[in-house]
Amino acid sequence: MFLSSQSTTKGTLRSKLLKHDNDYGFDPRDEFSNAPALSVSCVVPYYETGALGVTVARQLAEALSEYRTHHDAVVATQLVVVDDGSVARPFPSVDADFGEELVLVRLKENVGRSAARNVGLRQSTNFDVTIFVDSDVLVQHDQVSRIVELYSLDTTSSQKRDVIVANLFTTLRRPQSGTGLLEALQRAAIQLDWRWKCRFQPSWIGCSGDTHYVGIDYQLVSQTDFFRSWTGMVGPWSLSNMVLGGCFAVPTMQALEVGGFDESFALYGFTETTLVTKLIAQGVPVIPQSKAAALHVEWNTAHLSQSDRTSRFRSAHSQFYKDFLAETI
Amino acid sequence: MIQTLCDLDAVLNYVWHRIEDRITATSSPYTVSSAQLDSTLGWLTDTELSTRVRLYFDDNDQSFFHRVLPAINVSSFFEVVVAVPAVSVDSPGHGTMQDLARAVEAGVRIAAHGMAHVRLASYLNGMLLATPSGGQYEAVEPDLQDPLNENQVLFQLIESKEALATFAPVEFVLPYGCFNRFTVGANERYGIYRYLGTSDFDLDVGQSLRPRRLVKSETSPSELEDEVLSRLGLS
Repeated sequence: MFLSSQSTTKGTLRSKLLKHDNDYGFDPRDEFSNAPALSVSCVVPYYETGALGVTVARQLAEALSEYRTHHDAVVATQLVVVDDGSVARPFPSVDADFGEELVLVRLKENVGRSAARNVGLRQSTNFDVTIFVDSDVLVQHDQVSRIVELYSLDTTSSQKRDVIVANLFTTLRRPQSGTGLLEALQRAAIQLDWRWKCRFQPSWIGCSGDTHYVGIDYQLVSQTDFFRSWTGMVGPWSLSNMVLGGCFAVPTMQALEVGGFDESFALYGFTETTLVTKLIAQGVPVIPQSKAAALHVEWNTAHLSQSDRTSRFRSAHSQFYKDFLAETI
Repeated sequence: MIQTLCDLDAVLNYVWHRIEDRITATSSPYTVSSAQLDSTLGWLTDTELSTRVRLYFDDNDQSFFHRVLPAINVSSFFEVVVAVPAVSVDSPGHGTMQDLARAVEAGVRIAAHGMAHVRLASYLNGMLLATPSGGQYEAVEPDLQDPLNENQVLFQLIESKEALATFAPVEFVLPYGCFNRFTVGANERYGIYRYLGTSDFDLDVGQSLRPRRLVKSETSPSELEDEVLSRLGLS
């Protein structure tokens, strides 16, 4: 366990989040010679995504398969798809492509992404690491291996340390056919993620205090030494904002112990951030996975319009910063 | 005057710091004599303004607990507030946790006044400076003269609320009354305090940037009265 002293004292989440020391002690770009053999559960919250969601699950199954073959020891893996009450495009019944490891959970009603992720998290109880992947995010064949190696104590150790792994994405904004998607996945690069390089945009404003950041350039990964020197806020962001729901990993037991995701964040925005914040408040560091870039396919049938996303984002922003972070733990 | 304030639902906020028996050559201009405080409170009572006046005692000075609190009827004022720099609690010359608890029992409200007593925004040649970006989320020395960076400002706002959590402060009294857009924006982002207390005179009609009038050793009741009459358009 990597727990800093702040985790043991009483205080609000905002104080613990901002005081958190994220120096995890190694360069995540290094090669890991002896990564730990951990059991891994991948959870995909699915809602009306259609064929893209099936492609996503298939890619994940391949990445899990490659992860297993990299380890001499037998490692348990599973793939959990939580169909969050889809009506028009339910996730198809399990076919042979996925093998026996796919667990398909169908929820009778649409309960929202946080609750769906919690269903997947509980389904992962006996696994060391749970990786959450949205149903519109394609992963690389080595994505799971690259994530799990960051659970090492250092680049040579096979000992496990509990961390949160944030994956970086390329976002695809044009429609693509199935083949085109896989080609786009090959071209995906971490340098195309906004956390790698961005200019703060007017549409990103969550509250009035954000306005004076508009137009400022950030290179959040490099300027914080891959988040190792992150302290307090960097511009308008806290560390937990660096973990995006599209693809991230958490230590399962700790995630269950802190109660999983806050299900009051049911719509768009901050649905992943509550769990991540609670873990950071316990002293769990965040590491960016910078070797394999995932592909976020924004152009899909289940995606909200920009105006819907903006209004929901601002509402969730207020709820997160003003209410959720004020909670005492 | 009192009727107009009632009609407007307005409050006057007056701020004292240290109260001493007599002012000496070495006293700070913010130190007020007991006699002068009595005179001002007497004016407020005689004019019935007291029910529309909030008394502030900044900096958690021991004189409030030893001289003022035993001598006033807290309930005769709109409100009585002590503004507390968190690190001052239990330090020499300042109120203790026990003092604060007793004051609260007597009806006094506790406001945060920073962890240390440092400016959350700075001026250079009369120009208000923007808050330097980034920095460490950390405490600073009380006598720091350099402008605080964004994370140091956040630290003052958030950690003073943590340190005084027992008293659930809803107000942050800005040290030296200094603030800028970042100060206000940071408080708004986190929803930390409902009010930020400033150091300038106006009618308090519930605005979140709460106006407060400093009372110094040379401030007389007649000066305060003229000021209010003028602001109310009654002079």
